[in-house]
Amino acid sequence: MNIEVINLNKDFKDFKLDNINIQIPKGKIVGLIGENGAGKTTLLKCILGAMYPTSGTIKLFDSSNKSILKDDIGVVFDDSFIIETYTCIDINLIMKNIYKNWDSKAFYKYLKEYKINPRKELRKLSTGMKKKVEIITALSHHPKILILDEPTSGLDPIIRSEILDIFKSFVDNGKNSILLSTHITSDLEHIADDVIFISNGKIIFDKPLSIIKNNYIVLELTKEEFNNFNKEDIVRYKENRIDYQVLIMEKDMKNDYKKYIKNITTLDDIMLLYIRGSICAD
Amino acid sequence: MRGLIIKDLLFLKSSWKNYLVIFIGSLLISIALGNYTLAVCILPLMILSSGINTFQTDEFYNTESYTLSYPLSRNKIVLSKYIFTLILLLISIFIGLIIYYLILYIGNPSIKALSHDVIKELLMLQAAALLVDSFFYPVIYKFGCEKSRLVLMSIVMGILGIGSIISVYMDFSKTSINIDAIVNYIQTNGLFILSWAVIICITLSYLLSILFYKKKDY
Repeated sequence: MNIEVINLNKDFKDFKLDNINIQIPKGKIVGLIGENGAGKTTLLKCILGAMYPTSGTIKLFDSSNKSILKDDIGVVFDDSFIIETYTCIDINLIMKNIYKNWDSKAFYKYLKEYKINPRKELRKLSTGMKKKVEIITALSHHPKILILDEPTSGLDPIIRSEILDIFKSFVDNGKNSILLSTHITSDLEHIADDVIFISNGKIIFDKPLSIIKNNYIVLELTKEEFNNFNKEDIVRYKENRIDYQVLIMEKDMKNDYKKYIKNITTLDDIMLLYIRGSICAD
Repeated sequence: MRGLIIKDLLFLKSSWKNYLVIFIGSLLISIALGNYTLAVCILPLMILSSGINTFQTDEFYNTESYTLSYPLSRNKIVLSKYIFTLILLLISIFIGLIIYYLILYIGNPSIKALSHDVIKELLMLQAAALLVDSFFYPVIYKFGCEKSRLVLMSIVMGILGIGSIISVYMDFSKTSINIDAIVNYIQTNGLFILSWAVIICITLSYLLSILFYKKKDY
């Protein structure tokens, strides 16, 4: 196991991460989804040691000594990087004196590949270019784990696709893994093996993407259909202006759902219904 | 740790234009006043104060969480800041001496206002600046740059307030305290006293900074 989080709690005045248990196996890409303020970044910061958990254990590569093992972790934060008056040449100079395995050749190769001028200050680069520099920096010391917080935000679809290809090839050796927190759930649908859904500090589910895609179904029902629907089968529902959106799990179904309109179920739909939807009262 | 020191030294590089403007300004004022102490002392003082500026820049660009993802313990991250400050001290004294000798021998050999006391003043100013740093750093680690300004302002106001009260209610002429003797002693042994004060304060400051930084969430 590359990362193991056991019974993690982190208390704030008005929020808490509540008994988080997750595992990031070797060779897997694990997506972390949830609304803003759900606790995703807090969880990532606890794993990286930027925040202290109130209780619980975090193991990296089956060990608890983080500072030695951080050489093997590449990081992209949503809102934290190097001072933006620095250039990529400066970043190379800094990082080769921080990471034992820093690979200047690989760093400059990536820069060339993505057409980034190494002499240009980061603040003069576009948002997408800056994000690429962050990803390149994370990859250039040959880590075994990538911990990524919104790594593809601000990137156009073509670059996003290229970046996702890099992530896929990163785990191809079967030893590396990625923990990826993102709002762009369509990215996860392309590359994730497992998805962890976190809401209000609690894990709602932690399942392989294939099981989520095959089991969760979103139906659109008229008011009459909704009233006649077996409420025991409904995981969550949301009343819209003219219809109902209903989340069901196929394996638990007692009704014949095929007669109802079925949309292609996305992670966004599932997330939205879990967060904004209601549970049927008995 | 070397990487973090390099990161902070690179910050100096990005500020060189500001330093040049400050140096030219101080030189012009010195020429106008006929006293070159300002030209010798102000640039080294500004360079030494860059230590605090790096905290502000880190906070402005929100680099703290990223720094904590490096394979470095929190102790080493704090130590790098103190080593950087000591490197700044060496750089600033070196630059101060260069300016001194340039003015003395190349600029205008007839300048009489430039005595060896200027070097002593430069060293005392640097030592005083280090004392300020040693006070600032733990407060910044505890409260961050923004809040630390308020905290330090409150402390300074408090000290001034207490000083004012003492001066109002205490008549030094009636006490056995010989103020003149104290002032004379400081003038004669100031550099020696400041050097020891700096060593003690920097050590305490470092230990306090570690204590605060180790407990902080980013």
